[in-house]
Amino acid sequence: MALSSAATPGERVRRRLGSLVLLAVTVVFFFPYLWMLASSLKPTADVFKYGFPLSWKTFLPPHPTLENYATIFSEFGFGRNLLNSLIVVVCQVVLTLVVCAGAGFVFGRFRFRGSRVLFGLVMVASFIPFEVVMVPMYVVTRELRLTDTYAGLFLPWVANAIGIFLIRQSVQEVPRSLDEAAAIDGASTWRTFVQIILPNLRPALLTVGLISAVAGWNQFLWPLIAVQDPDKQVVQVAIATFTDPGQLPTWGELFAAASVAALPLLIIFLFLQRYYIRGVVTSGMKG
Amino acid sequence: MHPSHQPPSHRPAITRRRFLGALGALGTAGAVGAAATACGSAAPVAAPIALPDGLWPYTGPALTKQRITLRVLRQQFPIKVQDQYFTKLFAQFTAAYPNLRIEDQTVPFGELSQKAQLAIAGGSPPDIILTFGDFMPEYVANNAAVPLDDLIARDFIEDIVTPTRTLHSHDGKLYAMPWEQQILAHFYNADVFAKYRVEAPPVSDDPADAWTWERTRDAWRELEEAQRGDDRRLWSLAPSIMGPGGPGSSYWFEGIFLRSAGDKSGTESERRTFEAVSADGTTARGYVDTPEAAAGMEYYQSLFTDRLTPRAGLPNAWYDGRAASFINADTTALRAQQLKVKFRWAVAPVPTGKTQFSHGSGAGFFVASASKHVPEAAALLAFLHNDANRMTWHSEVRGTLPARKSLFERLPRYRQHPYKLMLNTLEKCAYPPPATPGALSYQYVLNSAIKDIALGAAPAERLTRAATKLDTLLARYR
Amino acid sequence: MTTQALRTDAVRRRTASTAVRAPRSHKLTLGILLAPACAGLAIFQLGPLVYALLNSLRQVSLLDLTRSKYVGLANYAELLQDMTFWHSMGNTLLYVVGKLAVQVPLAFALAVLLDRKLRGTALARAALFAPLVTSGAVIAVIWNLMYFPDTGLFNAIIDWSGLPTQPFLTSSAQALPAILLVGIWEDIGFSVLIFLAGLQAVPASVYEAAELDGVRGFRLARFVTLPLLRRTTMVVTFMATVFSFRVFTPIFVMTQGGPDNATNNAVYFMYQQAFQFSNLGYASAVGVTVIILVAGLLAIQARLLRTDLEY
Repeated sequence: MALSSAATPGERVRRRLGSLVLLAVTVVFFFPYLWMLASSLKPTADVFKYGFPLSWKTFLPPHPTLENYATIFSEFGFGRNLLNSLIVVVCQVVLTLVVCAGAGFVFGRFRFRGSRVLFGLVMVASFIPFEVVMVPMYVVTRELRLTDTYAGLFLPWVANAIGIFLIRQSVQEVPRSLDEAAAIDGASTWRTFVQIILPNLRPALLTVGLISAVAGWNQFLWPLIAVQDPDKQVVQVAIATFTDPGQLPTWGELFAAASVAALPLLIIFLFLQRYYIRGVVTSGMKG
Repeated sequence: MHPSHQPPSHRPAITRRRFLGALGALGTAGAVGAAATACGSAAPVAAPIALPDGLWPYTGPALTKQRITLRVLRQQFPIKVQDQYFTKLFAQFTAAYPNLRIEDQTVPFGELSQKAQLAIAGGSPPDIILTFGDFMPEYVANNAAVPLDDLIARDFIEDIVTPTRTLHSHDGKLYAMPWEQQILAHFYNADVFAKYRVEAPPVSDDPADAWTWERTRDAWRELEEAQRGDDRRLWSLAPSIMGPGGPGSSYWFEGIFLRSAGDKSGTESERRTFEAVSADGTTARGYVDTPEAAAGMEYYQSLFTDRLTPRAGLPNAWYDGRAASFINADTTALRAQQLKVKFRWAVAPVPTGKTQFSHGSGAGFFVASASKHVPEAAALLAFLHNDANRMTWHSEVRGTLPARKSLFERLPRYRQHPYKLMLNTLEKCAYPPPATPGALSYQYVLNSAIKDIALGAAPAERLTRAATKLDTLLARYR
Repeated sequence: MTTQALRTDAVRRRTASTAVRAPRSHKLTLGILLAPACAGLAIFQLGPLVYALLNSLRQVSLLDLTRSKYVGLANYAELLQDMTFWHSMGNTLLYVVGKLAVQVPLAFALAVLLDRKLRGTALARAALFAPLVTSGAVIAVIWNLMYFPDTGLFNAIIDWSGLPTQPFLTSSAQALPAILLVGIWEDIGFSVLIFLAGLQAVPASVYEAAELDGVRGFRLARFVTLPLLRRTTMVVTFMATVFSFRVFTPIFVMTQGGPDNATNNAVYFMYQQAFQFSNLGYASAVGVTVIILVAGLLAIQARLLRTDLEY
């Protein structure tokens, strides 16, 4: 980059300072994880023993063990829960992208009778708290015979109002001249959507995919209600079974399970974010 | 139980295409697997193997010959053998009645109530639901449970210990089978009391030997003062580990600070304090906001202001040796043995106020009124609760108190300390939680009042607010 | 300019004629694209909302839906007088405003910093995003333990540095800010992410021009970058608002709305009504009221940000 190579001494100091701030951010945000990870390596009896006063034992396990990890997989079948979550999330993300991209395109490009009302309803849906509609949603899902199925876990979230909103925003930023050029070539609406608009929506699609993946992976209350079959239960509900204070929670195992559950998404995320940040957007495209 | 799968491993160098391909493949594999499970449930019916003790205490009509599924919703028990116990019994039952299939669903205890409510609201709840006995009156008042009197033997019902039978009954009819019984005792770390030369509470099997709450607090204060200047300080009293933990997490435990300040044969106000709710269960004013109850809460508050007990849930505090005393359910004894705690511990009777008080209640299974297979559900419950199966549960699997008198006689450990103390506490000072059709509301409202008081709210004023709030909530049932 | 206008005009005429020729296929395409979203929202969101609306006019127990009673607007009348509800609504607003005030500017600053590609960027980015992929319940459990009064991890650190320990979640003054901090820690990565995506779209030529004019540092961010990111800022604000209104898990796990209702927010209040007091009718009335209030607030927000968000 031309700018950074011409670094003046003042610029260098500023960059140092910037790095220092980033270091502080890293520490603040990783701190609870460090503690969680350290706790997952302690036997349950030791997890809270060394909390106060502060000592190295608070953070580093004095008697490290992988026992907690072994237990959650061998005794609690956590592998099965991970697989279930993975299936649900993959289906949820793919379908969400398909459904939201279509709707976002229509709302971003076309006016028709009732389109404003329809979009208004989408906006209303975006801020319905789940707790308001939990009971009727359960009834609907049961009527559709979707309880105890993977579909029951992802279908209700596939029409994601926030996703539609984000994609619509993004569609509006694609210059109209592109569609018009396509129209001159006689392209159908469908082809315009697939060949012209979609490729320009990649950052928005990634964002929506990410929201949907995170929401799907972290959902707790819904699978707790909608799934009876233990073989179909997902990770977050499985984790909750380790946190029952009245039953002397198995804290070491809880932290092990939480660490494992955070890992798959973190990996996908670290993998995608490079792609995300590295300028997918063609420069000069902004309208 | 669960087939174990290894988590998908990621090779170090993955291209995006290969990565997405792998995800897609996993998704497909999952869908195919799901389809396979869905089709594979039709197993051939084997010849029945009779149950050793028959269906006693079931007295209802003959069971159906049709193929049906009984669904069970229960809490997940903390130790694996306890969950396996159910699996084993269910297998035995279905071997005797091959046309009855059992679907056993477990949820964490904290989530049980919400899940049960939603299942009932959704219209097709499981046939059999486990609930904490305290909430049984609410299920009964809302027609969610089936009376069991015509289906279960009379002598079985009369054998149930009084507090639990009261709790599980309404208008003389039994609505839930008594799974187990819980009462309170004072567990303490004998090493700590010895180390700081503080007189320890009396080890006895007679609840009448209990210290008063004031006397107990004096000992806790002495402990606190003796430790001044120590680097690693112990709490005198461990916080509640029930529910979310800490103050306000369990009326079952903390409610005793209100009710033990009352007296069932005392003045009008003392009697009401003891009863904690009006006879019809719909009025709380004048019962939970009496001067006696406020005094009980002042006592409870002082435990926090004197820094004798922490203001939030501290997991495992007593077992880890970070708290000297623990007022907790009888299961603590067995748990301490299982965990091989690293100190000498002893058990004293629960301290006494004007009344010596412990809430006697426990979990119970009821048959949902929406169930289409009531006799079969009751028969399964009868089988789970027969003498042989209950004895195994209480003596080998979980170690909680039984909820039937005859079982105590057959368990030798109830003739020895500390279990004899538990039995005596149950017989002499255990009372059912307030029976109100708004049982859930009652406990939630009081829990939050107790929490606020523990954290500094003025007891009398806060209790009045809670009582007023409760009366508006309970008005629906008048 | 003129050629451009001419071309657009030509296109317009052309499209108009194609629209006449093939309106059916065009309409069909739009229908197919729109249908799944509409069906999904209608079945799983708006339908249930209508059901909640109907419930809000009845007295219904969660445990016995069959025994409900039509009460008209009685639930709403009760709601208007329920001080705890308005208190919880106030807490919700406080939380939303506090969160927006901290999270949006901080996220912008962090995004600008991360965009510089300094040393340590990759690690900081991973750290910021890690909370996003961690279960909300686990986050709440961990923070709860760190916030523990007297002897929690934070107090261990405070005590080690010789300061007096703090009550955090057990004090009505500190509880809401403590919950707010968890919320910001948990969500800010997402705002940073959207800002970063927005920054990608700012052409390098803009920065080059600014450099030539000697505009840099804070002034560059404030007077050049920020105005270019107005749309992005709007999206970030909108999403942060929606998520903040719905905050539930940390309250549920850490404070149960206490102490003394200090952290009771609208959603938690509604949850209490439905699942603790099994008062489904009243809970539905709360839900509907909250949705109306949020819609109003978002409309005001859109007006204030003067964007072209259309309802």
